Parts: sequence; structure tokens; C-alpha cells
Amino acid sequence: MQETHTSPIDDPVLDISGLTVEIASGGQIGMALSDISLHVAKGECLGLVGESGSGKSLTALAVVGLLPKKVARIVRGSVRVDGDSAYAEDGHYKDGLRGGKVAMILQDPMSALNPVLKIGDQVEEAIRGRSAMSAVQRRDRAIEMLDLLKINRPAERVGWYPHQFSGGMRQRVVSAAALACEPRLLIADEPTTALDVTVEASFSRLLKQLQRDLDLSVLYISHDFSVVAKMCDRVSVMYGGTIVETGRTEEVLRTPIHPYTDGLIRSIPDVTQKVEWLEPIDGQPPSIFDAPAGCPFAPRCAHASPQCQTDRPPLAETPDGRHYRCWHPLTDNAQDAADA
Amino acid sequence: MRLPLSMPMREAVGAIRRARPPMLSLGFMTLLVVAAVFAPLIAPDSPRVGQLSSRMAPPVWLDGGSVDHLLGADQLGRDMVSRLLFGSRTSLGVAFLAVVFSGVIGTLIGMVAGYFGGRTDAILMRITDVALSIPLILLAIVLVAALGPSLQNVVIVIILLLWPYYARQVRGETLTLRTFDYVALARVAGCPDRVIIWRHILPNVMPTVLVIATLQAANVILLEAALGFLGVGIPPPSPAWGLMVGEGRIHLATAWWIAIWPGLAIFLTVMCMNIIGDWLRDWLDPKVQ
Repeated sequence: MQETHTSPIDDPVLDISGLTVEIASGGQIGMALSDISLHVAKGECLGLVGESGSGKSLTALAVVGLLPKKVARIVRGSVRVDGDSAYAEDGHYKDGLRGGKVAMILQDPMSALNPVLKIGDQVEEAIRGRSAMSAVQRRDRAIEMLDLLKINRPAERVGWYPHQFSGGMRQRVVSAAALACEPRLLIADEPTTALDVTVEASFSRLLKQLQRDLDLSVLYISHDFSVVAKMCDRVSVMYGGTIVETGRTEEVLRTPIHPYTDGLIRSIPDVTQKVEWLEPIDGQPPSIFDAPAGCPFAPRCAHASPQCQTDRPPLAETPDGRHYRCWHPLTDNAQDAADA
Repeated sequence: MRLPLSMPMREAVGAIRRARPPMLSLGFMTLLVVAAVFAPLIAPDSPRVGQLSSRMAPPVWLDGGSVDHLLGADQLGRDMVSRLLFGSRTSLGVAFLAVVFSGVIGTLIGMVAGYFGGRTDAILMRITDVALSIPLILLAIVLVAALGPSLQNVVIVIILLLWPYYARQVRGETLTLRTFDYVALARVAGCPDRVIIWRHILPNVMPTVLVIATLQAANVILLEAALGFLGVGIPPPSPAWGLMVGEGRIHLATAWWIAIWPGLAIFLTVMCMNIIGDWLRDWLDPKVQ
């Protein structure tokens, strides 16, 4: 490694820069991700928010090297985990990153656990190949992890099968498996979407607490701004395969710069205020095979000008370090943010 | 009722009892297996050496029948009961060996094709298609004729004929299984492909393999009998049901028992195995219930 190590802040656990991914399907080629740049610092939780098809999960797949081989191709850009490039020169994912450095929690806890294996074996999976632990030590570690994830009577339950657990418990088992190998980076891809509301709240709280206690670096993917508001230190908003805005969560929520962020926030129901009508964002997100030449949000944007239709907005930065891609930032907000 | 393999023992036994298994068929098969295993102890006579004095002796309840030969004797004076008992060893032995080996080969090929996909899949599945497109009996006759009839060759030929059925089915299931998140997560966790196939794919395709194996066992018995009947199976004087039917055919008018008893044995065994296989399939399939 030729890079010089400076302060931990300058040395993010995850550093994606300029990532551009092409998808080929049915003879068409489209940009699924264009020029994605983001980073997650040690102990930080970064939210990645956007609607379905905005490229959130694809970004996650690129980080763990699970992009569908024949369909998706990385055209440009780099993914670095702990300073090491995730992809070799020839575009192959480096196996060294597997089995410990990055772990994942996915949306559907049903599909994430193998129905015919005891959960203890599944929690041990990540530590099996990597460390020189004995079988007994691995089992102890699995029990410890289940306990950490607040599964009662873990010593007994390592011998249980997935169908003996409820949805919320399964997601905690999946998390125990993900955290067992002490990953440098945890990717949580909509981990609470399949859970019902009360379970979602307790699971989110547990995850947040663990993130703080274990000083975890988390990339938290969600379509739900209210969940991200609770979980994340910073948030990146994705739309049509680009990141349209990044900033500290409370600032983005208070003073959104990009009209799309603004629209997303306005469409969150707020029980503390009597609102007659939520404001939806009109229209549909663009197909990646039929992407607008200019800003992807332009066709749905109230502030769009002719320039928005033809030119992609570059990445701009406010004086206080927030990033956005918009020709017509909600200037009051940008100004407020600059003044703040 | 999918995946009974994932259940603790007591729960599984309860579930099986509730599923109303075909007790008669299971009972008959158990009896047959016991008879086959203990044939040398049970059989009253040698299955190979006969006494010409009791040539074509009729069963005990017919005129001229004696208790020495309860079901009669064949054209060489060999006791039918003994021949049938030892014949069950051949039939079940061939069925067991052929089913196990073709199952292992077919499952392995199916899992590899389905898991890796792409060119591996294309090549393996084209080979499977070719193997499936050849008429079974014809190929078996040609192969045994070329290799020479012996127990070993019959088993090898049947294995060669049966593995594609496993491969095709297992490949299909693997295609679905590999899209499950636990496979993706295992890859992220650093599991090599062979470990994923062994730990995550194999236990999930086992119920299907078991069902195919049961149904195929019946086919193997039929196939072995057919080869024996046509004279390209296990060579005489070994007792084998198909061979016995074939040899008894010419005496059908005078001594029907030589062909009928082994024919009945084949019929009952195959029917029971099919009933058990059907039941297993329904029981393991969540859609039928």
C-alpha cells in the first residue's frame, strides 16, 4: 500500500469513488449507477435513501462483489474497504475481503437463513474458515453473539432451526451471524422492511445500540427516511442511479438542498402535526434504459429549467461540507446551511 | 410439510405418523428386505442345484404337489421358494446399488450444473439430454451384449441409464436454491463454492432425491427383470426374477408356476415401491395437501 495513513477520519472504512455500473438487459444497456461517491468512517452509520430502483442495493452488491456477473459491469470508479481496493485490475472481486471484513444483513430474514441448518451452525459460518478456533470455541462465540443480539437462552437455541423463530428473532439471528466475525463494515440492506412496526422499532434500537457499543461502521440502506433519521449520522439520497445529496442527517432533514430530498421528506407522515394531505412526488422514476440526458429528476421537478433537461448537474459543495447535484438548489436552504 | 430433515426426531416421527404412510406397502417391503437378507437361513433348498426327480413339481395344493416344494419346482427341479428368496437378493441388491450410485452421480452433476450455471451448465445438461434421449431398453441390451452379461455389468449399465433423471431434477431445484439470500450471505462470509454446495444446496435437494430414488428403485427392478427376461441380464444359473420369468415362459402351458411366481414378485415389489414413492412425493410437497 503506497497511501500514507493519516488520521482515522481521513481513512474511511468504506470509500466508494466515481463508481459507475452498466446493466445490460434484453439487448439494452443502461447506466444503473453513475458516478457514485460515498464514504463511511470508522464507527459511523451512513444512510443510503432512495426509492426502489434508485440503485441502493446495487451499490451494496458492488461493495460485496455480488453484482450479477453477466448483467452488470463496473465501467469506472473504485470501491475501497479499509484502504484496499475491492476489485483487482481485471475486474475480479478480491476474495480477501470475504469472510470477515464486510458482513451483510438483508431484507428478508426467511431467505437469509438456511431452513435445514441449525442456527448455531449458521452463526458460526463466517468464523469457520477464517480463524483457528476449535469447534467448542466457535460454539461459545455463537452463543455469545446470540446473547449480544438479545436472544434468550442462547445456549439452548443454537441447536434450533430457523422455523422455530419469529421474523424479528430471525433477523437478530442473521445479525448475530453477520457480526460474529467482527466485520469492519456492516451493510444493512433494508433490514426492517419485512418486520412489522413494533418489531421494527425494537430491532432498530438494538442495532443502533450495538453500532455505538461496538463502534461499528454501517452502510444502512432504506427507502424510509424516518428509519434513517433514527439510525444514521449522515445520509446520502439516491435517485436514478446517482447520489443527489449527502449531508448530516439532521441537516438534510431540516434543510434539504435537492428538490427530490425535499419531496421525500414532505411525503413522510408526521403524527405530531395535523396534516390534511401528504404531498406525493408526481410521476415515476426514470427507467435506466431511457435515462434523461440531464438531471434524472428533471421530468418530475418543479424547479426544472431547460438546462436541467440537457446537462447533468455536477457535484457541488456548500461551505459547510454538504454535497449535492442540482442546478437549482433550494437556495434558501443552501444559504441557511451555509449561514448555520 | 417440506424439509422434514430439519425437524427434531420426535417431531419427525409424529409428523410421519400423521401423514398416513401406506402401511401395507411399507410392511411388504420390510418383509421382502428381511427375506432377502436372511435368504440363506430361510430357504429350504439350494436355489442353483435341483433334483431332476422333482422336475416341474406343482405347488403343494395341486395334484402331485408335495410339502418339499411349497410353490412347486422349475424345469430343473429347483425349489421355487428358494429361487424366489434368493432372487429377491438379486433384485433388491441391483436396485439398491444402481439407485445409490446413479443418485450420487446425478445429484452431483445436477448441483454443479445448477450452481455454476453458464457454460458448465450448458455442457452438463446437453450430456444429460443426450443420455435421456436414448431408449433405455435398447441401450441396455446393446451395452450388456457388448460388455458381457454379469451382475456387475447390469448394475453399471443401469447406473449409466438412470443418473440423468436425478441430474435434471436436482439442477432445477439448485437454480432456485442458489437465488436464496443465504447462499449470497455464505459467499460474503467467504465460503468456497464446494462448501456452499455441500452445506446449503445438498441438504435442501435431499427430499427430492429421496423421492426420485424410491420411484427409480421400482424402475430398476423392472429394468433388471426385463434384461433377465430377454436373456441379457444376470446369467443363469443365478436366481433372478426376470430370468425366471423368461425361463418359465416356454413352460407356461404345462407348468405355469415357474413364470407366475417371479412375475407376481416383480409386480408386487414394483407396485409397493411406486406407492411408497408417490406417498413420499406428496408428503414432501407442500402444494399437494
